[in-house]
Amino acid sequence: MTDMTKPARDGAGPGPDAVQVIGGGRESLVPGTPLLEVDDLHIKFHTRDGVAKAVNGVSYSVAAGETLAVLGESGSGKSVTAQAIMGILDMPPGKITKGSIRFRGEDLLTMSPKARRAVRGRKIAMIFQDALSSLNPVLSVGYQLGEMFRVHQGAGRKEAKEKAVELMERVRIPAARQRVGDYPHQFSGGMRQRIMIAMALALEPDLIIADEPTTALDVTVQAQVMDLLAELQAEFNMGLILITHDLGVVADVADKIAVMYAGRIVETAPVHELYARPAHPYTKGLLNSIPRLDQKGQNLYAIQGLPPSLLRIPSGCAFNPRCDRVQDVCHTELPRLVPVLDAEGADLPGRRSACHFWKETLHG
Amino acid sequence: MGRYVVRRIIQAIPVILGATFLIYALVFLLPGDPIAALAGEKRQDPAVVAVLRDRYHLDDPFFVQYWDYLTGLFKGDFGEDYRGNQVVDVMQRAFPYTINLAFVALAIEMAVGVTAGVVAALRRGKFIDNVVLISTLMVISIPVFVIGFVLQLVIGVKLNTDYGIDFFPVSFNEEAGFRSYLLPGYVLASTSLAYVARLTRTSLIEVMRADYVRTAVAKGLSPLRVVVRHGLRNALIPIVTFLGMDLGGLMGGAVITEGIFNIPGVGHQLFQSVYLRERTIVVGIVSALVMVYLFANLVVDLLYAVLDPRIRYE
Amino acid sequence: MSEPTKSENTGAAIPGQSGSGPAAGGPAAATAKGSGAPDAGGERVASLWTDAWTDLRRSPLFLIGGFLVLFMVVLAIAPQLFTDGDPRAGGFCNLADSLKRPSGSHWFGFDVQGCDIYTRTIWGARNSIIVGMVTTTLVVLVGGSLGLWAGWIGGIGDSVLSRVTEIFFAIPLLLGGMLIMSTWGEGNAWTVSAVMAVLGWPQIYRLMRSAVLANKHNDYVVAARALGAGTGRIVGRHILPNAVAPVIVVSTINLGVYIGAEAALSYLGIGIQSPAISWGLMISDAQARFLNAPHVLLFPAAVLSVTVLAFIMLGDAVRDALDPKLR
Repeated sequence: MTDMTKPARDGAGPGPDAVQVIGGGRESLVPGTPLLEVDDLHIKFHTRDGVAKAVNGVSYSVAAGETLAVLGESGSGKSVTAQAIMGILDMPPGKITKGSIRFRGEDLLTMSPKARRAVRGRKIAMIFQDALSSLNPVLSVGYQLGEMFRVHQGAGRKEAKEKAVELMERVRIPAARQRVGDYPHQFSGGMRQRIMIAMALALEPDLIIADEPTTALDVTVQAQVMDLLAELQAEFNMGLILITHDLGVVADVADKIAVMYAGRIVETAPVHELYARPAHPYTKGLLNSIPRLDQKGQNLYAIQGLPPSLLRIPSGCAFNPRCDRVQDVCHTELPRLVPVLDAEGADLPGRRSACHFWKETLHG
Repeated sequence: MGRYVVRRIIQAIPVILGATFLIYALVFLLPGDPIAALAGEKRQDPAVVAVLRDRYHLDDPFFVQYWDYLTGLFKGDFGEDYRGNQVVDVMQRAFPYTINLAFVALAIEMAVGVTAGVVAALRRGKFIDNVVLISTLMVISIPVFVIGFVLQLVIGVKLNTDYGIDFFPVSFNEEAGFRSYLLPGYVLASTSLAYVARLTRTSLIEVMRADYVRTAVAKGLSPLRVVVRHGLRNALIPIVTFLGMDLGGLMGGAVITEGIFNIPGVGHQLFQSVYLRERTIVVGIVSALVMVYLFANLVVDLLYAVLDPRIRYE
Repeated sequence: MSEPTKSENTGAAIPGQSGSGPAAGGPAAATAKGSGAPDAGGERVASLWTDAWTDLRRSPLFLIGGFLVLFMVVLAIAPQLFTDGDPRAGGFCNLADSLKRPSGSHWFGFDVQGCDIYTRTIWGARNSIIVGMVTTTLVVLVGGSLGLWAGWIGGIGDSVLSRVTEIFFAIPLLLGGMLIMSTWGEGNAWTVSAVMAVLGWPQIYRLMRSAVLANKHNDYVVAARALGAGTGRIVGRHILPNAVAPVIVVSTINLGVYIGAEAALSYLGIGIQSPAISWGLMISDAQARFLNAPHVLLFPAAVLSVTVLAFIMLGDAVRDALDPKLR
């Protein structure tokens, strides 16, 4: 949480003692020093209908042991950013036009493909939304788990299988030894997602990116999977980027939140402060649209309109067509992500908002 | 698995019955008298004709003849031709050539077709992809007999006369052995090869977009491993279907290819028998080919279970 | 295309298989696309075709294929436009010209009988186009209506008919064609078309049947029925429009395949018979002297190949346009 003091946007390189050789021990890292820094990332997609600006200057950072929740509707650029970090963006049609992604101080975007591959899976791992389609249907889960050890550590067939069983036990899959040869379709949704988690954990990476890890699951299973993820994260002191559109999922596990809209971060804040006092009308709208028991009988709030097409993002503030606080300036001037101050004018650590009227939103 | 196989074999029986009936009916209706054809221009002794007609039950009603044939078939007896040869013997002589030819063709089809398809898929939209797409389209459009003649001329004759390379015999000869099958095998495979290449390309492109391929990349696997282990394995499923169904087509195509290269296989035999009105041979060979086709399809179905564990047979 | 069984069992390049099994290729995908959207029938199909047309106008495959097909059709209707000679007229052939090489006045040279190959090739287009068109029409009419019926009715009729198609599928087109043609003996464009239609209808049957089955239980069809729409209206307005796309694609490609199959049968001597002109027959007559006079074989072969290619290109282009997934 100490990282909250660090402004997300102008994060110049990490301190000298944080510059680690990739693959250096986790313990040598100064606590709270960013593990991953995304800086001014721009991503465009060339489609048949024109150029879609999916990510327009996103910056965020994650430290070891820290959980960053990236919140946004579909099309906000949250998953595209994650794919760029993983290096699994489809290029073409995607293209990173600007920015850097530094992992332990080294820019992933300028690395050789081979060096990048050594980071992928081993240092940064990803958990996908739909485990059924994300696991290979024709290979046993044991093979798919063991493959991590065989490819990255040169383990033999038998050793890999043994480690796969261990992994499955670690994510608490019952009868792991009997089920190691089973195929993905033979598991329930929750168990499949546990296998995805196990796969991501296999080589004890420094950072895990979880892209909507519970969206495809039943509500009861969601909580179990999230708890497991949080527990394992604490155990290994991993950084975690949790991508979601669901505010409810975030509250318990995240340290800080970045809210994205139309390819930009519109607000960042420590998780509880964001819930208590949002500083952007969009965040406020999201929070208001959660049904609450104490508001029974009242009309549920919904943000009017639809997210903008990435081919034609409105000028000025992209949120202006849907905003209930909209003024002329919102149509002409792009609001910058600026520090948010409290009523006395003191800096609120970690809080930033990209709204011309953050003050009114926060205090009004 | 065992029960599934039995069920599939039982299901195949009506198809075999229907197909042999259809074929038998067609051949039975062939015009001309087979006994008269036997003698050519010579005059025949009516007594001999009567004996022969009786021996081959030619005066029995059609359904009686078919029933006799069918019961024989289930005992493995394909009958005898009008020259007194056992049809089984004729087929036993001819089939090995065609089986060799079909397998050479199938091997070429898989090796060249799948490779071309994979290369095209991975270089999608690039020069090599267009080369594969255009050349396969052309191969599909050119009749096999034209491909056969041209390759025979260019590779069988010109290569020998102009460059002294006689590795590929112009027409079949036993001494050349395996080499004899290469050129005809390639000709027979050509059209299917083009289909396999295109099918592989489409299938692999589709598979490479799948979420699990993205996962494989995210695991930090090498591109080769991603394509071979995670992509191709899935992309192969429709290709196997095609190859299984194609075996029947290859057997049919053998009529033309064996004719061009003088291979004494079943295609050649069938073609001659149609002209000589050797009904029993024609029915025997076509029925056998239909069974080969059905058997290949059964094998394909079982291969599915190996390739795709989601398919479970009761 | 002397391996016409291809019309039954192809995957992506020629979307033959009608959709059962994992090999479901192009047209099945097009159907899936058509039936995936929850909104109602007519409009969605219309926009599918509008989008496809926008793509097609820019597709070189479509433009080249379409032009060639058009050209071949004109050739078939009015060969006189392209040549003065009439191969049916007496004295057309002159043995003195036997096997002469191509020249300025006789572009394709002469065959063994001393007939002008260019003129014969031009006049040969008619039989090929007739066979292609007639076979395709018969196959679509018979296979389409039976498939529609079986898919809609279901039950015993469907089961019996589907078993029958399995029998037909087990007999390769070329082998079956050989058997029937040698029985019939009377080889001309019409009999060849009829024989190929007899062997070819199960393919369109399967395609149509699976398209009907895919759409029969869609919400909008159920809704239309709940609103009291009659069978005729449901089939005509909701089922058929969705089935038409794959049938058109496969039929266009198969038209080329049938032309190739006719040539194969004629080449074997059991298709179209002399004195009628067929490219397959011309190739067959030329094969004995191929080594000395390759032009006699190659010119008709080239024109035949281009014709088959044209239809395949056209069908491929239409399929690509209707199935944006593969772009």
